[in-house]
Amino acid sequence: MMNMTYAWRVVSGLALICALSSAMIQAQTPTPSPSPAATSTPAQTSNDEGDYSIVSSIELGYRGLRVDGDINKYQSDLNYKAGPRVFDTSFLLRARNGNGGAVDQLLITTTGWGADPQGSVRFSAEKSEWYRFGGHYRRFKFFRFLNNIANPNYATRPTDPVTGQHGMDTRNDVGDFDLTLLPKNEKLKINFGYSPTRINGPAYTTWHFGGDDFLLLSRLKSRSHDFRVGADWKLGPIDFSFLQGFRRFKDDTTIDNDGLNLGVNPAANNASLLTFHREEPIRGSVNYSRLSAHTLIAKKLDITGRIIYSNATTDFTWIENLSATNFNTRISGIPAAYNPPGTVLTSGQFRFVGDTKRPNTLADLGVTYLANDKLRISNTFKVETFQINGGALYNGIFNITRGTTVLAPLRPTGYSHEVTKYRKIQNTFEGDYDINDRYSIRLGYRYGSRFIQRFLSGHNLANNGAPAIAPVFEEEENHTNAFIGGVTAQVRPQWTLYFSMEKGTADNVFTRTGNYDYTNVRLRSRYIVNRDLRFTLAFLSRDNANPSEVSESGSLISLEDFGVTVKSRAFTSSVDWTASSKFGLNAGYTYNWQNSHAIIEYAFGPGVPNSSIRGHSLFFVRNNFFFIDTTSNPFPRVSFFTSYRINKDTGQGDNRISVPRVGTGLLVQSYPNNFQSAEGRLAIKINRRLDWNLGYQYYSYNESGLRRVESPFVSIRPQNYHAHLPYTSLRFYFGRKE
Amino acid sequence: MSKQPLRKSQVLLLSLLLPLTLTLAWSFSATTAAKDPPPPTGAVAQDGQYVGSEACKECHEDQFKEFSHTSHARLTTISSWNGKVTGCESCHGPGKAHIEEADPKKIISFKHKSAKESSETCLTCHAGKEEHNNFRRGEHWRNNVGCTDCHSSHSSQGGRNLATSNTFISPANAEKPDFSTVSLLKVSEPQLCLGCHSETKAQFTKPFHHKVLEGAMRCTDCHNAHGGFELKQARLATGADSACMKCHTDKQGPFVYEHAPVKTEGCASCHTPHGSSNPRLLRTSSVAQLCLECHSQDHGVGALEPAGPAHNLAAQYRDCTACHLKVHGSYSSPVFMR
Repeated sequence: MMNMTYAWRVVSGLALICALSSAMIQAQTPTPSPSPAATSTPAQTSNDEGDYSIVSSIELGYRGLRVDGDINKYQSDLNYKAGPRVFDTSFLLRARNGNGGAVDQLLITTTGWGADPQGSVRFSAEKSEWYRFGGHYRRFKFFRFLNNIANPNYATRPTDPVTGQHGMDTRNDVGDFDLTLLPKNEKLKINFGYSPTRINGPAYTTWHFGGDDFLLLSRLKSRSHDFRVGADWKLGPIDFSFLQGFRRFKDDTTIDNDGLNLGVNPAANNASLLTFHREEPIRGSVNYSRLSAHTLIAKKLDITGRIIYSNATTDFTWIENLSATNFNTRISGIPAAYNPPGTVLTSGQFRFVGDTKRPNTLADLGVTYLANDKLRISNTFKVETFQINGGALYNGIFNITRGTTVLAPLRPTGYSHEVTKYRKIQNTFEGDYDINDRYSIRLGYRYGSRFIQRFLSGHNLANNGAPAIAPVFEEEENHTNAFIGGVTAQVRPQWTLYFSMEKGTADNVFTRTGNYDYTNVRLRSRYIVNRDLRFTLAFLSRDNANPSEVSESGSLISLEDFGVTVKSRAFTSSVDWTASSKFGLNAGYTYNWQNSHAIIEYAFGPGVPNSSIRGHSLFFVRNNFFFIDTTSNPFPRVSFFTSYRINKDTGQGDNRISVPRVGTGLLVQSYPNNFQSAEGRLAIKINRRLDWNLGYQYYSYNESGLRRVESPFVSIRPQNYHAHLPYTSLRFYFGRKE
Repeated sequence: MSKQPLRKSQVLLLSLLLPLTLTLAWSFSATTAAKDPPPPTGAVAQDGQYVGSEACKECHEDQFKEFSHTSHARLTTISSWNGKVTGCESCHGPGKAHIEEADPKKIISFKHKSAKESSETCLTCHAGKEEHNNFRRGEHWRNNVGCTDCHSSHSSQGGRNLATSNTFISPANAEKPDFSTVSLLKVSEPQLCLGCHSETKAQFTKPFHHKVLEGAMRCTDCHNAHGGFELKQARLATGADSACMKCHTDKQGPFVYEHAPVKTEGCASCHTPHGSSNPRLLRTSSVAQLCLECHSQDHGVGALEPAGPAHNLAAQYRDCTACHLKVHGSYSSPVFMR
């Protein structure tokens, strides 16, 4: 936790400095006389620098921070820090006559650097005849230290205040850089691209070993580099595009635990780790090619084809060394003769080596027939195949001492080979018909077929003893159909309604929660009264059901419901209103309703061996979102921004949560919470080169409504917080004119 | 799967009925409305009816001034476009008659054209780009959302840089241009997209979300607004992988033991991509609930062999990913334990 008093002091000091500097600058600059014309006319911009005009601004400032409540949850949600901040910058340079020397146009924008958890830089440089260069670099600082996901520590150590089991404090860097040569050439363009990504930082991970769970600190370190080269060219009436890409990936994440680790169950006779070290270097590559072609024949027939082939591979070497005490037969594959207590795993080593390949082919063909100015018919065909072919060799060494007796080392070995094959074919036929200038309808039909096959052989590498397994062979195929319809109606010149409906069977049905029988309805309304007033309304409904049945236990003829239904409704509305040059408003309300119901069956272990409980899993969302933003410009030199946003999920009301237990089989969840923020900002124009900003932002998170009775899924203590973020900044302008 | 697909006869009947209906509709449709001449973009300017953009400037000075900063205007300086129609007349057609007779009807105007008609003018040049190849099959096109609903071919953002949010990115204006200026967008992303898809704003302001409103990502990083072969007009990464894998490279694999839905069903099987109250953007607030909905003990329902041995569901084991932490895929454990 930072020293808040210090932060406040610094903020106050900086505000004073800003105010004084502003006053000094203002004193040195002739003050233009405010006039009605200056307020009603949009600011004229740009500085003329020789052959170029420049429009630029940069905002620098300082943000303070005070958090009352759960700082870990605050950082997991927001992660804004106190400190100096480059709020945002923009720099636009343009050749005045459109044709510059080395560059016709250069644009650089940045946002969120300094004390912000996410920052980005975008730039574009273009000499229209010769090149266009664009880049986007982003940095994200992720922090996660939460009590409600993958954190069963709360069941056994509920008083522990900080036990985010899969917590992390990482930094992700992502970039995209693209260069196009001859960008305006109709016959040929050449493209180069490069996209690096980098993930770095400490993160907690867990390991289930010896009947206990160990929290281990890992250091994430992965890199990837994606290089691309391609060309767009025109040959006769056909436009071609080709791209060849090469991604290289490496992961050198390590785990070190050099001290005694008692695990989640710290009882004296439970397993404990003395030392642990894991290295799992992974090297991966993806080589991919994409060829696409497009033509329009006689202005009637639009044809687009695309074929993509990629071949992804990974190679890995895994070494894990550990020493431990009180390990027992719950370490799978270890003979009972090595039972605890007092058994010491002097040294253990797991080694895995292997590789995996995944060739993937995707081909699409789309044809649209523009029959006349009212009717269009299109057909889109897709086929995709891939195969995942992976294998691993395992070699373990376990040196064990019981009391003073050194037992014979155990040296299990094994291998495993898994192949997954997949094929998907899909065809969509659609037609659009304009009834008149205001009404149009569309109809369509989609057919899908999917096939998946899995083969597994070798040894069970989840077991330390690596026993041989009987080969597993599974395959499944399905055929699905869906119907699509829609209406677009321009009820009035300014008012358009969009209605669409889709009903059928989806193609993603290999997971039970996937859509199977689905009905999707969308209704959107866009009412643009004039340039200053606009309304948007929408209603979206999705009903997804997978009405599966299974043979009832002990019977081959009686089928029992084992289905899943997921229903969601969303209503959304917003208004954009520019009342005058001095006041604007943007507000909206969205309600999201969701019910999920699945028949489940699970085992409940302790004290009730092999008991299987059939029950229901229910999940509810009742989320209300409201926002209002206002901008006012009460005086020529003063503008004011206010905002309020709230996301409030009420869950399903009472009986909010329950857990798997003997007898009931009912698993009910929702996540009632209330997340809101308010914001205010005052901008004062000191002179044409400088604005002074003073602002305050408030965040509040509250999950007190989440019932915590018997639930291991949430912490005993609500993760509530209030955060106060005052800030001040100066924005410098170049090229701004009165 | 216990579900039965439609019978072949039904599929055949529907396949015949649909084209028949559409063909009938076609035969009844009227095609007599007078049409403007086709847009002359790129045509060789031998016709004496073309007068050049400078002539337009005489009356339309504001539009000319704004247009002169666009990449469209720069075509006149590019040698490969020499002799071809560029500038105002490339979209509005030859202007000689319009100037001589001062008749607004003697020039192509887009005010009263439908979105599809207007878009055809733009597609004359832009359809050949990979990005735009599927525009005539895309959701926007089908819903009569055309190019000029999002782009303004000859204007740039005006206005002043008034006070705005501290954390959310504000739209571009004349004092603070951004990439919407280069792309000739009417409004910057994400404000442009949220203007219609306002339901996503609620998702992007939940505790966990992708940083779109903050300006670190754009809607078009993941979606192609111009249409595409993928569901939701999503983009692909590194060939045929989902757009998520572009940044989440550590989930890309291939793994020896892949959690099949990652590749076959997509990330949205378990995650809500725009935003969620649940950490890791999960669809439910409890990991166990999410897993159990597929991995119940009855085999043959949904996932292939989802059920393992009877699990001890004592409190500390109820969050599945505490043990099965490599849930996207593992190199060493068929049950994703490490």
